[in-house]
Parts: sequence; structure tokens; C-alpha cells
Amino acid sequence: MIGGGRTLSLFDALLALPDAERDAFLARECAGDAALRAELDALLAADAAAEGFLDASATLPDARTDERVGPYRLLHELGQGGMGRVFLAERADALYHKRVAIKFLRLDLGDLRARFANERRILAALDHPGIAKLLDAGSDARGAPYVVMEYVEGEPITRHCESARLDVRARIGVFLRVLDAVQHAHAQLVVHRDLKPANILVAPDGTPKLLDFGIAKLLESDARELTVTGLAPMTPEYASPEQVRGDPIGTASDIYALGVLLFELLAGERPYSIATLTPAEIERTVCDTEPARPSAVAATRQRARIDRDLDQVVLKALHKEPGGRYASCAQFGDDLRRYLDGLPVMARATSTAQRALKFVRRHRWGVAATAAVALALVAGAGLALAQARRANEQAAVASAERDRAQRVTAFLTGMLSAADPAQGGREVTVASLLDAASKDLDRELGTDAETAASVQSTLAQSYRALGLFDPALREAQAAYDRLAAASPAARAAAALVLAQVRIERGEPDAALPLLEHARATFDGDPVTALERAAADNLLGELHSQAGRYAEARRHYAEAIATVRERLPPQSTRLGVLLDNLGVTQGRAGDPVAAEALHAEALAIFRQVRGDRHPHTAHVLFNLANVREMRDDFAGADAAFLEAESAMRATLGETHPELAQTLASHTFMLNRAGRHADAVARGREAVAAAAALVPPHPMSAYAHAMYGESLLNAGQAQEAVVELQAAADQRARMLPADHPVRLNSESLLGAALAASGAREDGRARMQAALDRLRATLGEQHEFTKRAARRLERFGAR
Amino acid sequence: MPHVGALQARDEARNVGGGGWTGRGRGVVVESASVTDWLQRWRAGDRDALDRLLPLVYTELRQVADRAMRHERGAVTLQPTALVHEAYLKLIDASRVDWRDRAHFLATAARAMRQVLVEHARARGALKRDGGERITLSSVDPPDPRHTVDLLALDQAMAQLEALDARKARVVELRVFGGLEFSEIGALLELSRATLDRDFRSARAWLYRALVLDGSGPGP
Repeated sequence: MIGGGRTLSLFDALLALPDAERDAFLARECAGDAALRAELDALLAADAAAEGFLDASATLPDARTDERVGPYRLLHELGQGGMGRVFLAERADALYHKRVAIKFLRLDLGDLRARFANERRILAALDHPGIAKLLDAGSDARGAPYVVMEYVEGEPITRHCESARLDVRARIGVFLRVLDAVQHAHAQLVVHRDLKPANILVAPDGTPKLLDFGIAKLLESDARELTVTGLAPMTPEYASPEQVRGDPIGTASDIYALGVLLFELLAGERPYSIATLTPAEIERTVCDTEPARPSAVAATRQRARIDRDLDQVVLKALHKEPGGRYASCAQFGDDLRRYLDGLPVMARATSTAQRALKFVRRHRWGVAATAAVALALVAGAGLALAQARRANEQAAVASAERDRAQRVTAFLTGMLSAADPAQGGREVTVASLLDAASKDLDRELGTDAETAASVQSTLAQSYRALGLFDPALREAQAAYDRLAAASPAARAAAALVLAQVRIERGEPDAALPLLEHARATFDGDPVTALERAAADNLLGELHSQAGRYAEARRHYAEAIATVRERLPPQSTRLGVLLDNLGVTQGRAGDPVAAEALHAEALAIFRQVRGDRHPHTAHVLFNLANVREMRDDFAGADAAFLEAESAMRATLGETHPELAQTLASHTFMLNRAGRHADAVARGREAVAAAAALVPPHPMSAYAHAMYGESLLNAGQAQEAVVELQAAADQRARMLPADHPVRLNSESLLGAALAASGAREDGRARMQAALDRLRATLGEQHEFTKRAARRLERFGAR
Repeated sequence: MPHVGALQARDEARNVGGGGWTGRGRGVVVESASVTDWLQRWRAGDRDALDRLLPLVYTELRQVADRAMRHERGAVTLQPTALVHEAYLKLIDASRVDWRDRAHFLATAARAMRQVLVEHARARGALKRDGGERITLSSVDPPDPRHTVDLLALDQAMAQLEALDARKARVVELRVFGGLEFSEIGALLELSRATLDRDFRSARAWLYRALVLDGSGPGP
């Protein structure tokens, strides 16, 4: 137990003394008793830090209901906060019964009557339907300063949005009206300084109204300074970095607070949980920690509705530097209106670091069929997640795991925010960021093997996303090795990442034992059933790629059963598994089964992610391909078009996924005999691939499909250029006898022959056909097409 | 010991007690003469009146607390003073009582409030053992983590403080669970304002050390 009764009474005496006399008192009373001295020192330290603890209003004046203040009679208390306490009141002279709110401020603020008179003109200019009017100010019989305000009936904006069950667009609508009111005040040079939900009430008819506008102005007017540190009300959760530091405050501080509010309205939580009691901790969090994206924080149900543009708008308002935020509420509002109209937002033109972060975050759990994949950095490595779930069973472990997850996040976000925006291309910058992080790792996290391994697994995922498989392998292997002495489950989680890299490097033999061992480890514990499903997903892909379809189906079926049992019916994991199984069924020559699976996956993604999410678009792409295999060209065309439209809206005009989809669409149009459409679509595919650095699989694919449609349309000269580009890239990426490379050679030969170089073209077609026969056999689709091509274009 | 701030509900929509100016005024003043009567008889010296009063206050507080937590899942942050005031508005006919009645009511309610909340916290803890059902208290609205404290930890620490200095513990109880003004506490306990301020400050430092600096401090 802390402190005995005697300690406490000595402490009382100590508190009664002026500061200057305390040392002598301590020396006298504690002579020869070091323990007592330590106790008293500890209590003094606690006293210094405990201001506001348990009772924030201890420094506020007492006030009682049923008392008269000026012409008003207090009815009852409405609320209290750090700055004052508020009472409902009505005029006691019964001239009119209009109700008002009276806010009593701290005693040391003095009489506000003179200041109110001085500022009357400015306060009158605050007249706006969204702003509660300041009616009067003064001090009561006991000298307590107060302000009289229009009484507003309503609930805080956050609670209103919840209770009215507003969707994202409606929330933005309410928020825009708040912005209009703040803009009006800013135009009168009045800054609020303490915007937060409790100060923004929404009336039952949906009209938001801001309270306390003008109070800060009232308090500052005497000092003629921008800052009123100490006097200024401040709510740490909504305070800007400059506010927390005590630096000058301007309209940008209100914009920051509004950014926090918008974050909260969208994600249901504030960007920072200020789970600390010391001002220094708060300052560090607010000033130095980059906020997560709202969509990364939101509950699953909401997350799908917050897309990247909206994330960017919020993050721009939350910029650490006032100059990095929106210059005005009007600009902030304009960007949100652009968002509502489906136009690109200004906030997207952000720093390289943020772009890099966005790029790396583009996570798929394993829509493994194609596509570049990245792991969500901030969501943390698989390790941290796996352990966090297990931690639910043991609260003691939980805080250690959370701590680790936070350190991983802090390290990675720190690394990304330290990026040099002056560097060139996006890919280069991300890669160099990852390299720098990899180098810093041992210095920063060297002591804790599991944290370092989490970071390395995440780095490996990020390198994978960039197609940088050598460093991906290096990091994944290092993470795995680091965990040699860790728990089997932690090591198995790292094995999953390593195995995924191996699969993508085309080393399935190295991946297989890792996956089987990991699966066996997870199998032993019901808590890790979802991790086992993740292993099954990768095993399914591995076997599927190797043509062992029965094996693949078995793994997918197990994973699907587990996920159906453990997760809600609409989980995206289930969607991913159904989609991957569909790809396998397609490869296995069962497009009917495949189409049903893709359709089921599509329904889930539409529900959970929304119609225009990249994941939804990806499933549409798979569905379109299966329909094309079934010769359902009309159905395929519709699915391709929808996928392309969604990708353009969410991924931008140049993205590998869009290029791939357009190229597949081109192929389908060729097969349907729509050669002119195919040429047009192929040109778009090449344009979408323009930002890729060759050699790149999607760039080569786009050039190949465009070239083939040009050839079919009779534009042989142009076809040669495209097919040459495709063949060159593939020669640099693929082994000599790879069927895709041979197919590319055959196509180039056909174009050359058609354009007049008959002998050269013939020879190339013949050589490719010979190799295809030798490697794939006579019956393979590629072999048959190459033979037909030679017949058609090679005729003497 | 678990963290103080980390598990509190951060979603303001879940918090109780009214973030705006209307939150606490919702309760209509219900004519409930018996409580007012018992209160006045007690103040007039009728000791039995307290026995009649307490169950009524206790029942009302429990209803208020039940209502406040009914729709809450996960961690909850409560403002006991708001709950007590809500009960006060419902039970007391404000036109018939003076500040002494109010102070006596709140003093009675402070102890009952503490009991009701501790019962709730224990019941929740027994239901869910993963620590996610924590109840924390806040003295301000919206809750500020710096002023938020775990209820059961506070109750335990106050029991320890009671053993050392019962008066200090009572001051904290009246202020934190009853929401009495310092002037009311001073009149009730017959303490000078200087003594009262020192008692509160001393108790606050002791509790801060017990709850924050030792063991249950906030995470980094």
C-alpha cells in the first residue's frame, strides 16, 4: 500500500506550505527516513501531474441552480467541460420566456462585460444560421465570469450521425454545412479554437449549429495576441500540433479540428487515441505520429464506403503543418463536393510519401489468380494480426501484442513519412523507402526478434507488390530465420509470407514444404483455424498452378469450410477463396462451375466492398474471362466494361490491373470477330500500361493483344511494332521455351510475314511452332493456334 | 493491472451523459413527493427517514445506470455526476427544496452511486473475461483520457484510502460520485474551504499515484 496515515498528514502539511519552505520541511521531517522522503517526493510529483484528474472542474467556480444571474434564472445544469459549466436559464423578469444557455468560465478570467462591449461589432457579424449567437457576458455576484448564448437543442454531430443512421454521403452533407458556418466565421476573422462534436449540435431537423463561437475571440481581445495559451480552451483529441505546442493559432487550426471530426464521422473513431495522461505524451502523439487512413480504422461495415480519395481529403486536413492543409474551409468543402460528384480530389496531388504509402497499402489477402498484390502496411504484418487474435484469450498477452503491433506500425509509417518527395518515379521511391527501412531495421528494432520479424515480413510483402522478388525473398527468409526460437505459430505465420514469395518467384518446390509444415502447425490449435485457411489458400494456388486441380480443390474446400464456420457469411476472405477456386475450375476446364463461383464471390464483394471497389472489379475481370471461355461474348463484354469503369474510377487511368483487363477484353473482342473494337480497346490497354517500366508482364501483354488485333484488322505494319515490343519484353523476362514467349514469337512472325517480310516471318513462325509442339504437345491451344497462323500468314 | 485509457470507449456516440447541452436536461421533473418529503424529514432530524429514502434513491440510480449502459457494448465511459443529477431531476421537486436538501440528496446518492456502478462493473466483468467490457469514469464530457479512470481500480484504491484517512475518501466520493459543489461538501462535513481544498488535493495526488503512476498507468 502506498503511504501510511502519517505520510498523508505530513503531505497535507506540506501542501499548506509555500513552495519555498517545502525543502526545509522535508529535510526536517524526513531526517534519517529515506523511505518517507521518497514517499513524499512521489506524492508531490503526483500532485504536480494530477491537475484535472478525477475532477476537471475542480478549478471552476461553484454554481447552483435556481440562482439569479443578471436578468436570468438558472434552471439546471446542462453540462460541463474543461473550460466551464453550462446552465439552462430563462429570463427572470418574465418579459419574454426565451431560454438561453449560460456558461460560467474559470474564475481567473475576470469580468468579461467590457470585452464583450468591445467585441460587440465583431460578434454581431457572426450572425449565421449555423452559429449559436453570443448574447451577453458579465460576471455574477461572486465574480464568476459568464457568457450568455443562444440555447440550442440537439445532439452532438457524431451521435446524430449514428442515431439517424446516416450513410457516408449524408454525413459528408451535414459536415459541409458545418464547413459553411466555420467559413463564415473565418471570413470575419474569428477562429473557434475548440471545435469538437460537443460544440456542434444537430437539431432534430438535421441543421447543425456551432456553439461557443466567439468565446476565444472574447478571451483574446485583451491581450491582442494570436495565442492565449492557458486561457484558450483545448480538447487534446481535436487539437492541432501547433495548438498542442502552444504556437500561434489561426484558421488552419480549426481546419485541423474539422479534419479530426470528419475522420470520426467516417471511421467511427478519432485518428489518435490519446491514451496517456501526460501533456508530453499528447504532444508527441499529435505532433509526430502520422494518422492512419480513416478506412484503415473504420469497422469493416464502414470501411468499404470510404475510398482512397476520401482518405486523402481527411489526411490533407490533418496535415502536421498548417500550410499543408486546405487553405480555407471553402477549399475543403470544394474538395468534398468534388468527391460527391465523382471527380478526382485535389488532395490526391499529395506528397510522394503519401503516394508511396497508398501504393504499398493496396492489399489483397490473396486474390491470387493474377494481379500485383501488396500487404496493408498499417494493418500490420500477418504475425501481429495472428497474435492479436490469440491474445483475446489472454488479456496479459494482449497488451504486449498491441504494443508490438503499434511499434511495427510506428516504424513503418515513420519510414514512409520520412520519404524524400524530391525523388523521381513512384516505383523507385517506394523501393528506395523499403531499402532504407531494411537497413534501419537492426538499429531500430534489433532487440526484439518478433517485432523485427513482423516488420521484415511486411517489407517482404511490399517488395512483392512491386515485383521485386529478390529483396522480397531476402526479407521473408530473414523474418523466418529470426523466429527460429519463437513460438511455432509465429514462425508458421512467417513461413506463409516466405512461401508466397517462393510461389511468385516460380519456386513451388521450395514453397510446398513450408506451407505443409505451417498448415500442420496451425491445424493443432482451433484458435489458428483462420491461419490454417490462409495456408490452404496458398496450397490451393500452388497446386492449381502445377495443374494438380484435385489437390487444389481439396485445399480450397477446407479453407472455405473453415471461413464459413468462423466468419460472417459476407466475409471478403470467403469471397477471395471462392474467386480463387473459380480460377482453378476455369484452368481445369470447367468454366460452368467457375462462373458460378465467380458470381458468388462477386455478390460478396459487391455487398461488402461496393460496386466500384478494385476488389469487386477484379472479380468481375475473372468472371468476364470465364464467360469468354464459354463463348458468352455479350456477358463477358458487359463484365469487362463494368470492371474497366470501376478500375478507372478507383485505380486511375494507368494501372497494371486496368491494362490487364483491357488486354483481356481485347482478346475477347478478337475472338468475337469485333476487330475494329478490338483495335480501339487494345490501344487503350497500351495506354493504361504506359506508366509501367518495361519489361513488365502487363505491358508485354497489352502490346501483344493490341498487336494481334492490328494484325487481324489488316494493319500489319503497325502490328509489327507492337508485337516486337511484346516479344522483346518477354525475351528479357521469360525462359527460352516458355509458351507465352513462343506464342509471342509466332505472332510477331505472322505480322512480319503479313507486312512483306515473308521469309523472316515464316521462319520465326515455324521455329516457334516446333518448340511449342516439343514442349506443350500437338493438342495445346497455343500449338493449334500457332499452326493455324503459319498456314494463314505463311502461305507462299 | 489493465490500462486506464486504452480500453475506454472512444466513440462518443456510446458515451453517456450528454455531450451537448441537452443531454442532461432530458429528464422531466417528475412529481415524486415522497422522496422530497423523506429528504426534508431527514434534514429535520428524523433518522428513520433515511431508511425510507435510501432504497428509493438506490432504485432510481440503478435504473438510471441500467438505462445508460443498456445499449452499450464493449467499454463504456460514464459520468457518475451526470447520472446522479439525472436521478435528482427525476426524484426531487426542485421548487420545494433548497440547496441543503440537494446536498443531502447528493451525499446520499454518492455512496449509492458508487455501489451501483461497482455492481455493474463486476457483473460485466463476470460476463466477459477478455477485458473488453471495462467501465471507466470521466468527470468531463466528452470524456478526456486524462480525466478517465477505471471504475473498479478506483473503487479499490478508495477503499485503501478510506483505511488511511476516511474523511479524504468521503470528500472524493461526494465530489466524484455525487457531484456536490465544494461549498456543499464543506457545509456537510463542516470543513473550512482551505481544509477541504487541501483534503481533495492530497487525496487526488494519492489516488493519482495509486492509479496512474503505480501499476495501472497508461500505455505509451
